Amino acid sequence: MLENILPSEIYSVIADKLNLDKLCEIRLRVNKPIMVSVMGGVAYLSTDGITDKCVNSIICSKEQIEEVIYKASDFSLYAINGQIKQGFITVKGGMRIGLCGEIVEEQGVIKTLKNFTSINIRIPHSVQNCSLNALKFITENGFKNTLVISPPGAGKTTFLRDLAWQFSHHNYGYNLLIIDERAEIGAVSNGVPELDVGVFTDIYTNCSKYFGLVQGIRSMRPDIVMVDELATSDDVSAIMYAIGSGVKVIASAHAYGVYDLKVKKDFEDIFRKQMFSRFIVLSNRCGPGTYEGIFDQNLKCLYCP
Amino acid sequence: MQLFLIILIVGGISYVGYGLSSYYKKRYTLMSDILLFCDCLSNDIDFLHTPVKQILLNRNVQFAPELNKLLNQYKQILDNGKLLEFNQPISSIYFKREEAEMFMSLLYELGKSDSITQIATIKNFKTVFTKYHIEATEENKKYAPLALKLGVLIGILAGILLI
Repeated sequence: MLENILPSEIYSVIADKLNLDKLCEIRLRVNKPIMVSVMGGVAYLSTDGITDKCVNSIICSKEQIEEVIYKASDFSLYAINGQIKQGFITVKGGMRIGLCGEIVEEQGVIKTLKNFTSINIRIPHSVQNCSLNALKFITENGFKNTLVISPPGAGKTTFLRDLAWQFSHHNYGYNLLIIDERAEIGAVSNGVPELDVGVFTDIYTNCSKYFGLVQGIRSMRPDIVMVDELATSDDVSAIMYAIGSGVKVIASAHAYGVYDLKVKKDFEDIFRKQMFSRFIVLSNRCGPGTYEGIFDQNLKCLYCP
Repeated sequence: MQLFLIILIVGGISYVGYGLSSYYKKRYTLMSDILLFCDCLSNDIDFLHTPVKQILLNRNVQFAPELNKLLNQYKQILDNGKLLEFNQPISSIYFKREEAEMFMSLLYELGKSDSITQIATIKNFKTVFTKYHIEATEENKKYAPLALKLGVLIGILAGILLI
């Protein structure tokens, strides 16, 4: 996957000197050192591998960033302008490239991004059984609406992916519908999920949460829906629609903990209406996916490692 | 033996004339196909947002071998995950230097912007290639039959002189 998008001079160093199974993230910034994140730890990339010294690091050029984006778009930026406008590109294999640059706006509407200044390549991994500890808290005495909370890069998507797989693996018989807005959970490419999300799972890719939920609940008759990264009040409304339709929901959101989420204005309804019965908090403390606690709807800690 | 040599010379010179005539015809065909290719690109990019590689793969119009050869070279580069570079030009003997550079520029710009910009860019290239097409059409009308006739005539003249 990486070999198809990275400039050969960068890829050769990464392939030769780094363990690709442990590589989580590559950050390229114009005229700045290339940085890599390996199992949560951040370091500079040098011709000898990773280093903590900035002076030895490989400096990224503007052309290299453009090359990555151009290759990631399969040599057709226009074909993925919808994603570019949202600030990311999803590449085959579920890799997500976050984009930063100059926004082209016309009458308040974002048309595209140009003059890219930095990109962030996130490499997905399947971590089998990473959600196993939480499974019984979600499923015992009936299925619970669950919100997975963590700061960025702490393993929310990996957790959701494994949870989807666990439902099938344990043969619960639930039909699970994933609204995979950025094609990250299932890494769907040409209609085929490249990462295992189980046999009871249907996936909507590259569609908004609201559209996916409304369309999916009508057409696919799911028992559970799974959505990644709730961010706005529209997303919360979409979840309310799903819960109101009698479907169970598993979602994730960015926050350091439950109380940090509670102070976000867009998320007030979640707590006021007790939309979720389980809150699973993850962190990066001992590497991505570290459990910080599992809470019930009254924010009582059920599992505090 | 002498007769055989004369026939060979007449045939050879006539063939040179035919070759020259064919050059102008193929040049004309290439220019016509490039205009058609620009239309295909505009349609596919505008309505379907089809990626460049897919457009090259599903070329719904069968172009003559001259353009097909160039497009296959371009597709090969993309399939290998490489970027098009000006120091490794994709060119044809039927192009003049300026036309070859323009064709390279067209391929170089493909896929590098949003669809509105792409359509505008392709339209600009089409305008330029329309000019080349008009030139090629005139050359084809003027020189293709002339070259063929001259080739045959010079061949026969050479034959007569040898006799």
